[in-house]
Amino acid sequence: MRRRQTSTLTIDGQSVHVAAGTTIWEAARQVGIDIPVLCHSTRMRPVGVCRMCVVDTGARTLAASCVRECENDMTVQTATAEVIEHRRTLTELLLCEQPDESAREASTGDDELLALARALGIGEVPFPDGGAGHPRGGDDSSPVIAVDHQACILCDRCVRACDELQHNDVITRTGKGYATRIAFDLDAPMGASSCVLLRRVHGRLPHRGADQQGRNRPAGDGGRGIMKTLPVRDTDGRPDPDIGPRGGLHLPLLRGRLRADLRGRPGR
Amino acid sequence: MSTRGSSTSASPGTWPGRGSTCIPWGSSVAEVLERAGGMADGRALKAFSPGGASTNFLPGRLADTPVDFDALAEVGSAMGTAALVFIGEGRDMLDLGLSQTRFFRNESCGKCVPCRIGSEKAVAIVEQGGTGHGGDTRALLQRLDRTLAKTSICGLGQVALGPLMSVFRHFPEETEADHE
Repeated sequence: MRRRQTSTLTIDGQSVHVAAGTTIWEAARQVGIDIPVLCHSTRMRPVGVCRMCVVDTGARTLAASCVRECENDMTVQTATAEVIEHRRTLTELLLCEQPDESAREASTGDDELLALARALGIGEVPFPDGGAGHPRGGDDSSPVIAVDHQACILCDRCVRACDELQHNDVITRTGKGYATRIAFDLDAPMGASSCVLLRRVHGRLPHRGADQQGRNRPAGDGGRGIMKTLPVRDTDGRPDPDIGPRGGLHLPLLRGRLRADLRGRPGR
Repeated sequence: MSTRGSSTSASPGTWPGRGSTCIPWGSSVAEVLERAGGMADGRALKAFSPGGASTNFLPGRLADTPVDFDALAEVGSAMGTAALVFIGEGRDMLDLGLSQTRFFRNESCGKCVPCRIGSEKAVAIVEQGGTGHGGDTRALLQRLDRTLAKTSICGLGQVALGPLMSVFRHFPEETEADHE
């Protein structure tokens, strides 16, 4: 049987015609419907782990629209009362684990989780507080990037960015269930791992699990950054700030988008 | 009856005849219990779980239900693995329901938000004896149950709160905060 090249489906009463392989989330965007997401990024493959984008396709369970492909004659509802209630519950579950203050919100004002909470009108969170006392801890071993595991929502964006965009494959998940957290290499401290501290990775996060040290600097700091050599291990395993990876050639680590923007440019 | 044949039923629990047995299809839960020699210590049957850790508890008065997919679904549980567990009078149903949810919380892979966080919060709420906010514990757990059931990636999250909620449904007096 020949595979269909296109599908026609209905999303919130609107008829949508899409190419084969288009996800429900993408199709919805085509007709101006923005389904909320946290783990999804258009630059990486979808994983459907946050479940914020779930929609009603008439099936037994709700489908994650970021991963579910459109099918012909499918009827999708993206914002029923039931769907909205689940989004609220999911957001509340994430919020009850958060530290009291969001450093990202304080620095760049773009904490996607808090933005979603405001959009849903969430007030007091009814679930037991899992963030009190910061039980998940943090990792300050890197001179440039601080990791706050309590603020991490395990959206998997950092893992995918490191794998798919940078092909360094440094970041992974460790542990299981509620105790899951991200890790570098075989759960080494970030500063001692093979991570090369690329802005591209942590700049993708929707929330704030990893942020740069010195975040008290004004948000409009882009371009004037911290020059920091990449750490290289000496024979005792300690980072040697005077030796670059090519034996004396220091590679400056630019804060901000500057480095990421310069990569691949002619003459660079 | 929509199915025919024989069924193998395993029955751990508070009775002497543990192990697997083969029963004609359509046999009731009560018949399985009788086959196995009845409850230990002559206790009354308080409740049973028809099909393993993910199936909802049912009160003893429903023991005439046939061990059958449709029949058990109609009374709000499931055939599952037909691993019948018989619970005698005197057992703490909330404790049993909580132990099932703890199991799923422990086994959660941690990939999706509803199961990873929701199962832990359900356990925390019951362990601390309520919401802690003066709110309606049952309503909050029901909301959690609905979200896990409809948005979890896999069946584990979908059923994680089911047995616990069946205790709230069939044994509400045991879920009150001051129950001992």
